[in-house]
Amino acid sequence: MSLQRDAQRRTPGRRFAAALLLGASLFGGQAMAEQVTMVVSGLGGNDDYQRQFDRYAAAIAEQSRKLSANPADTVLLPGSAATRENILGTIDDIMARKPESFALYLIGHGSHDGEHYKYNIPGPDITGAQINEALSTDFEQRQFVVVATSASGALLELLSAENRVLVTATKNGRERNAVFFPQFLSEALGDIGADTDKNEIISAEEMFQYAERAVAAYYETEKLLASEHPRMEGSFAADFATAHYGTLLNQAGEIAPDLLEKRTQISANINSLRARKDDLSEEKYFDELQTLMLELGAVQREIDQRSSQ
Amino acid sequence: MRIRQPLRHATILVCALYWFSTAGVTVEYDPNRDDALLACDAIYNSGKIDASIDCYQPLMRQGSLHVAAEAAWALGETRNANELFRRAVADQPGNPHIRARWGRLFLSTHQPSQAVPLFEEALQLDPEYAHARIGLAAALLNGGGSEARQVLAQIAIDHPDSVEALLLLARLQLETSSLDSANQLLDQALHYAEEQQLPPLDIYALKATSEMLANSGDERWENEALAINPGYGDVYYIPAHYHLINYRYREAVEVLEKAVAVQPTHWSAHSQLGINLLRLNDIEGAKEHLAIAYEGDPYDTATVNTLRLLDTLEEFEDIDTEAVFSLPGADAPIQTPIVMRLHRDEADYLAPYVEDLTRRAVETFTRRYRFELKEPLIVELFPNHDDFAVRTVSTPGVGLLGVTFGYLLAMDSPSARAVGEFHWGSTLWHELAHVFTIEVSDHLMPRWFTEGLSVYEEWHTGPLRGRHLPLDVLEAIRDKKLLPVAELDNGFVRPSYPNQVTVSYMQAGLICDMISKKWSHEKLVDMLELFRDRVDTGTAVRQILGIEPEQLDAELQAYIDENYGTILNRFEEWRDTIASARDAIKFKQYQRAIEYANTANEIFPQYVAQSSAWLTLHEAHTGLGQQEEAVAALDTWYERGGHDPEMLHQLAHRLRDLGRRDRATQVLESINWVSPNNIDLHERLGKDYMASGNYAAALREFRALLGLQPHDKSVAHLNIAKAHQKLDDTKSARRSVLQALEHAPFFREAQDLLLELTTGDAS
Repeated sequence: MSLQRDAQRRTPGRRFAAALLLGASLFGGQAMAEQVTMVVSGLGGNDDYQRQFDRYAAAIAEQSRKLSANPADTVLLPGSAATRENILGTIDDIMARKPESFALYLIGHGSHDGEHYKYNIPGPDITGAQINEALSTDFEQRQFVVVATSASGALLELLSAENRVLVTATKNGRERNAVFFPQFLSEALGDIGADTDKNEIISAEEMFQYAERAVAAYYETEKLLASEHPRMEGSFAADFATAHYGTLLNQAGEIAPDLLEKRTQISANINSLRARKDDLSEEKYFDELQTLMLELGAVQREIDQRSSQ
Repeated sequence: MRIRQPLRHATILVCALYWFSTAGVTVEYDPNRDDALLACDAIYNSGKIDASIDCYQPLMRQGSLHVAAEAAWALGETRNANELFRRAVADQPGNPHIRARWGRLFLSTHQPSQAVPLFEEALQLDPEYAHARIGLAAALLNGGGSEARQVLAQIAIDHPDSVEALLLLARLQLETSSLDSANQLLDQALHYAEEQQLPPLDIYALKATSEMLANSGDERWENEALAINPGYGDVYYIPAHYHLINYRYREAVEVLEKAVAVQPTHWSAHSQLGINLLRLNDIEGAKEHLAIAYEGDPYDTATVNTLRLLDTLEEFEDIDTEAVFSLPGADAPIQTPIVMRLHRDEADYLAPYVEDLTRRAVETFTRRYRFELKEPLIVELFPNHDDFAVRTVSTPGVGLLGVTFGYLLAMDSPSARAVGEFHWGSTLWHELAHVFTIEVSDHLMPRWFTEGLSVYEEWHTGPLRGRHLPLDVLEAIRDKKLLPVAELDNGFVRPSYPNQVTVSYMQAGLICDMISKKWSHEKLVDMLELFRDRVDTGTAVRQILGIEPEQLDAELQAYIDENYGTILNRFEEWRDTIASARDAIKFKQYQRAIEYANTANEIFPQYVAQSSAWLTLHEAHTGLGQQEEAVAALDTWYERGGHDPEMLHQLAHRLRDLGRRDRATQVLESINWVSPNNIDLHERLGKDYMASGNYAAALREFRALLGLQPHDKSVAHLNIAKAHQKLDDTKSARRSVLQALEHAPFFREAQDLLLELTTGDAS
């Protein structure tokens, strides 16, 4: 006899805790909107690190390009091109375009002297204050900023902003060893396993959770004292797209509007039902969920069929 | 009780901790006591508490420093007393009496390690000072050492009229249920107490203990004590200790309830009552008495620790299940309720295994011990070892693995220790065997017998194959350190050398094993039932086996010679061969390593622990590229009980490579009993079981996987749904697939399964 059938928990309160991300709006909405991504690989200090940083940055840029039909929406500044002038100038250019959203990835080494953070690049380094200044210029759209460097946790307070999701590789400026976080970050964007809600979009939150777990697992497996603890701050990470795959990738911009609308509506209904979960009996909740999920499945199959014609 | 080898003294601590440290609180045996204090003592001992307070209080202000210290102590102001003693010693540094009394204060406040130096200083001033010598012996007894007993025996020779020494010796006799010897000592103590005009209250309490242990029903001594002092709670509190060391928690609670009834201000009794109600799963009752104890004595660490534990228990879930099975000839199936009390963070992944093993154990032991459990069985697993330690002995930092209090058992959960540090399945099996052996004998079996049966059941019916004797136990056997069976309890209660508790566990297990083989398992059960009649080991051996205990000792020796003669005779050679094999591996001399390993395995093939020759053999064959032979060596190691999780993973992987999937699954399954908190393990096992058609096992594995909070829960829910579907449980399958979709609404595979489950459309 199985546990579920004959074992009965007497302590209530065990609830479905994970946030449910129904990608209604992002799937048919802002994922298709203009999102500009800028990826920088900083100074490696030696050939090994340089190769690694360039590789991670290239992988992130490659995934980012799939988010948009316009190649100009992704900018990669690798190695020697990543000078302070180029970085700040490119940020200015992007800000001037006023895209609906802006994602910035800084890969490499960082340092913190107890007071100031510096991103290590060829020529003069960029300080945290300079990054903040460049990002804060009259820009109210959503920003997703990833500083995947050592000591990047020093920026948590400085770079926090209402319209910004900020990811750092460390929890503070004292974690100064070279970090593994960017490796797992780039892996997350190329691994559909990161897409836990299976909506064919890897959100910023899913990307972060994947990389965070991978970092922890790495130190655990290697029996090392963890010297990096990634952090994420900001409110919209769950619906900020960082990568697409599957049908959505193939069909970007070509899905029939009526189907998109239908799917968006069903997703909204599922969200609404989820919000009422505690007010419904378990049986009723799952009955209603089943109805909606069958509807969603039917629409999804229609989309798939059309895409294969 | 199950202990880890390196921390074997813990059991002793359980027995002695709160007994000797509280000795002498009510009755003072101070030979140089000030007359003013004696006058107050007399009032107190007559039960006139308020009057005694009025008597002591002025002495705190008017007497000399050491008298003031005594008065403060008598009034329960131990911190004040400590400070006063400090000043008194500074004032009279050459006075051994004051140092000895200061030591007694530490002894009474559960700090024997602080007391010892003070007694030693007093003895430097006066080597023959009996009060300090007895205090030192009492303090050393807390450590369980044999040294203390020798010191006491010498004191009794030097001071045959010392009532206090006689009482300590009587207590030692009572601990091993040697009632005749204890009574003789107590009668002498009574004689000298009368001669010296000392109050006989403690003697009466120990007399009452003796009657209780004999189950005579004679309450004469309680009545005598209460006639002198109606508020003398120790007349019940002291016997409670002896019930506790004999696992009689219900009886202990009964007498502790009497203790607090006659003396509501007996905080230690309230504390012990609370702790033991908790052992009987009366959580509310425990809270009530612990709260009273804390109110009266907020410095009692046992009280404070247990109250903290009660807060921790709020984080646990009670999961109800039952063992259901039929016995031949029975009209109806037996249904034994089981409550699994698990921490909420690990309940989901542990519960299936705890449930599985507990059900199997209940059925197995019900059959083997001809006994049906009468109450629900409660199984507690603690992920924090110190919580478990407080649960068992009210103090953190002890090395126990599991403890059984009758129908309630508590143990470390697998996550309480480093991966692979202990085989938690065996520990649970060991404790579950205790539940039966304790209850069959009505808590009256000798310690060695219940431990022996648990070890024996571990070897024969538990989840780990083979008999595993630690090397230091083999060395002890070789060095003729085993005790006669009639005295084997001493090896647990009062060990005389460092690893004697472990040695005694194994000796007890070997005795039970030998009885089972030479006579029958049924004889073991007969003995267990006979212990209900309060017989001693010798009587049980004579009546059930028909031989004298000494003959049983001889049989054990023959049995050991037969089974372990080779390794015992060639121990050094074996150890050297193991070392040579390892050296050969180090220098990549694999053929030579194989030769050494084979020789070592000829001598002692059962050895599967660290540096096992089977592992060396595996490594050597791997080095030579002989994969089949390497796997065979590792498989033999596993077959004989090897359970290092890393090596088991390696074996499973290699077996899979060789196409031996069923064996690989079996090996992986065994890892659950040593290291179950591994996501990859459950995912692999779940898939294997699905592939082999064992859907129930697959379901268990996928549930465990989900309980470990995997990154992608939707996949785990989907796999659970598929297992339900295969088990024709469409309703559960539908629920699980909806849970998968709840996490991941666009999950195509889950959408398809939902459609299939609701419409039968598998397209």
